Amino acid sequence: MSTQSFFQSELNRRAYLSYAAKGFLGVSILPWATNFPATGAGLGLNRPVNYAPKAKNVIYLYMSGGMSHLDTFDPKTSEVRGPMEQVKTKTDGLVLAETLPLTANHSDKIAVIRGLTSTKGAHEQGNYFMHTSYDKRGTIVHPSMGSWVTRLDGRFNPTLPGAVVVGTGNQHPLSGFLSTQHQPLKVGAPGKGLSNCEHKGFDEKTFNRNLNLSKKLDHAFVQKYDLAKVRSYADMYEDAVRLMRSKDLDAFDLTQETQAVRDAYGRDNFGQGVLLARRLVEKQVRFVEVQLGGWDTHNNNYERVFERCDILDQALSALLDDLHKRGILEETLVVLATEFGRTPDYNVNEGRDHYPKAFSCMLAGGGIRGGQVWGATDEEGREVVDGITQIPDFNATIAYALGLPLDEIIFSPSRRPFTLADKGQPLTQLF
Amino acid sequence: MEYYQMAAHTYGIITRMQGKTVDGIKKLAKDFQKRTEGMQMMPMTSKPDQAEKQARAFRQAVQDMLLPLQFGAKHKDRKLKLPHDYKYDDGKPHQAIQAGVIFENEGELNSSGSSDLVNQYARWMTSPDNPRFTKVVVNRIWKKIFGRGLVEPLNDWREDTEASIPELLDHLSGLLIRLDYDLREFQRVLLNLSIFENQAFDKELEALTPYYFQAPTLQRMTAEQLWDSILTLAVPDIDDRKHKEEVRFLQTKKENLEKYRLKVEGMSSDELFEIVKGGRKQIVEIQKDMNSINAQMKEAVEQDDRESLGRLKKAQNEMRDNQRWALATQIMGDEFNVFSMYKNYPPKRKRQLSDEEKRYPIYLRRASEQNSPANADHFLREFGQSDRDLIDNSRKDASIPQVLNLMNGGLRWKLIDKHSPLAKAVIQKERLEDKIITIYEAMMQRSPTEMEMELCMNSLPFPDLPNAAELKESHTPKQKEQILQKAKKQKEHYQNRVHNELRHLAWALLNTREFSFIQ
Repeated sequence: MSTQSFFQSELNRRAYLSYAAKGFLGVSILPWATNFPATGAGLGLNRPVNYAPKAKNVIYLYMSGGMSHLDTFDPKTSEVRGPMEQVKTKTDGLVLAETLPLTANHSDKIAVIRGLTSTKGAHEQGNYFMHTSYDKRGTIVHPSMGSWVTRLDGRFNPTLPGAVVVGTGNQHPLSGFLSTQHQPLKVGAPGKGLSNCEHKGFDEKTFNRNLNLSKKLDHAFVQKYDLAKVRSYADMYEDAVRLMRSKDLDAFDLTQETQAVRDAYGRDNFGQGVLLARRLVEKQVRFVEVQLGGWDTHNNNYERVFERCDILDQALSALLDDLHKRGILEETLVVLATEFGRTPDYNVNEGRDHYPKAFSCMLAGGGIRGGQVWGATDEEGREVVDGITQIPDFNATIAYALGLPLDEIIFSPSRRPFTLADKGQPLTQLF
Repeated sequence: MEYYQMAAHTYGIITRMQGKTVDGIKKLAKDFQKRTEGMQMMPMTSKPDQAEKQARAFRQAVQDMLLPLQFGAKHKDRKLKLPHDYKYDDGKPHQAIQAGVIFENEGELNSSGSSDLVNQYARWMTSPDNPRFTKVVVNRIWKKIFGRGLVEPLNDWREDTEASIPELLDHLSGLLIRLDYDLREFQRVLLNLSIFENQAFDKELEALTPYYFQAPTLQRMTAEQLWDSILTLAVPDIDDRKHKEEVRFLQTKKENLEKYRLKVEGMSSDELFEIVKGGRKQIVEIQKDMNSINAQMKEAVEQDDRESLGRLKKAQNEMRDNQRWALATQIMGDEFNVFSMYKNYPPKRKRQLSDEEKRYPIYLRRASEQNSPANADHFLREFGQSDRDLIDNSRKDASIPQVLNLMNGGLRWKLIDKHSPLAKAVIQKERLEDKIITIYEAMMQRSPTEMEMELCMNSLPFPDLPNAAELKESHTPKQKEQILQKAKKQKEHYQNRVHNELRHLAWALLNTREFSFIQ
């Protein structure tokens, strides 16, 4: 317990310092520069000393199942396109597939990364790698990015969770080997907000008395079984009670938004999840992930990608628009990621299969220069011919935007050293 | 290569019975194509792009008509071939592959037709001589009972995999074979081991150090166990509660699909063609409406009018549905429940609920009677029920929604409201101490210790026992009656207040780790 509270105060101190520096001085301190000598393959070598990270929080949109790069962010004119047409954007040299007409209107805000490559061709491994920058192993679970953020940089809002994931399946690595204090909160149905936050039928006094009684009656058991999985529930009770009392709790309540805004994001789970993400980062939740599934288009690729993109396009464009209008796009990094792309050749079921060799992701806001494309694939989208980007590099870029120390080593409970993006190097040219 | 050899066993099974693959329909579809192509040549409108849209809608409608005929599985003689970019030395691209197994156990496998192959594969897989099958089963059941497998992780067996106690795994495998794979009997043996009776192990297990199974490991209940544990205390007649309506719907779906298949197969292609021709007009009508909606949607997109966009989308969905089953309705008539063939859930409808139904809505039924996986925000999913995206995908780790649910969720009062089995058992007891013991035994499977009993008595503001009625000789019968009445009321009042406080005790116990973990 004592080590935990040490970490907590340590984190709060650091979070306060960097927050205060950003707020009062308009600059960001480099926390790792003072605490850690810039040695080895970390950030110190290729980072401009005068770069002040602009991103405070992240909205991370994950396209689960493997989004076809050819039918979204890396459209082609060669035969591999199938029936897919392109759509021009405001930005010279940036075309998108016709599936993303609304996003195309916001091309000045986005950076498309077309040179991603990976060797993980199965969902489980690919999804895990994208979320953690590490290979999936039987003996350890690595933390996902949201947990790294709160571990290395703390929470900005002490009463809300540091990270939230919306609409994910069960394979999300969450906080991995980090303590459960860093565990992202899972929200199942964004439209319903966070359920069970009020103790109806109890007054505060009774609630506290009952909680106290519960603790006392549990004392013998908790003493006997002093195990991580038992202790983690104590953490959760603390967090949950803090959350229940938070004045920012209504950030989870989408009914506070006008119907027009809710419609703007799309009335599906994903759209409402993205809207929830915006509300949460406004209250300084550090990292909100929203997943959209169904990208595993082995059959009827064309129709199904269109279906998915309908949902994605509406929510993403509404988000960029909204963040921009509220003036928080600069401090909010929007990430769009997926585990792999899809085969240039159509299969017998008019679908596309898994293709990790080349695929696309997208970044926006958070100090990223809009209206740019980084990396390129050949004319059939088979090979990366320019700006090859490994997944850890992509994740390092997210960390760089936030000003996180890429070389800070955190030890797992089994005393093994890990860093947040493994050996990834950030794409500093995007900023 | 081994992968393809294994896959070759089941490659002959076809589960997507699309027009192309099923003989009868194949002929029909071909016929159709010819004839409907002809129809497309005679557009019902002079505008060429409209005509193309109508033609496409019509083709789609014909496909949708055939859609309900797709379900099922068939064997087909087809050979698995290596992919076009196969790069290893042991085979050439496009080479046909013979079925083969990764380790031999039942002599030569000879292929003769898909259904033989599949059966052969099943026999090979479940053969006692298969060096993997028995061990994998044993390991899974061992983990179910003792919380940790002899091989971890459960689903990652490699050539060099070794059990933490190889002799034990071998012994248990022998036992399972001797029991002829009677899993119930096998579990009975394991559950009778003296180490199972030991209290759960109270040290941290490290991933890399072996564990010698002094006792079961401490496990949190699975989501399903927790849900069922609470429900058996909270809901009367839990085992009589099944989701009849959904089951009935699926039954109807199955029957209707069969009726539809018989009807379509019984029709000549001329008859079918007439129907399709008749339906065409309707489809084109719907298409016209759709087009106008699409145009409105386009406008809405351009103007960024998201409100209308939502409304239009809804209308579009309804029309698409109507278009989908237009032809099937023509074939089966208006009386026939076409809906059931295309949807997986019965339509929602409102009806008057009885008090009992209101108190215990139908969703309060055992986990095994729920849809699986449950919705993402369901109690079961919050507590880690598998999403069924992958095998072994359930979890047991703590989360905020879980504890919010235990503290504030709908089940906490249900647990001991007046009608629950737990409450009934409690109310039957006269003495307060006995009531507390009853709650403890029901929820914690043990009696409270003296200290706990004292804690309960002192922490909760139980009312004082009302004085017993004092009857004197001098009282008239009427007075006696009144005094007794009063005493009875007082006692009722007392019992209600006691019960009210006991709800808080149940709440407190529900929120202990001891409740959720199995010792």
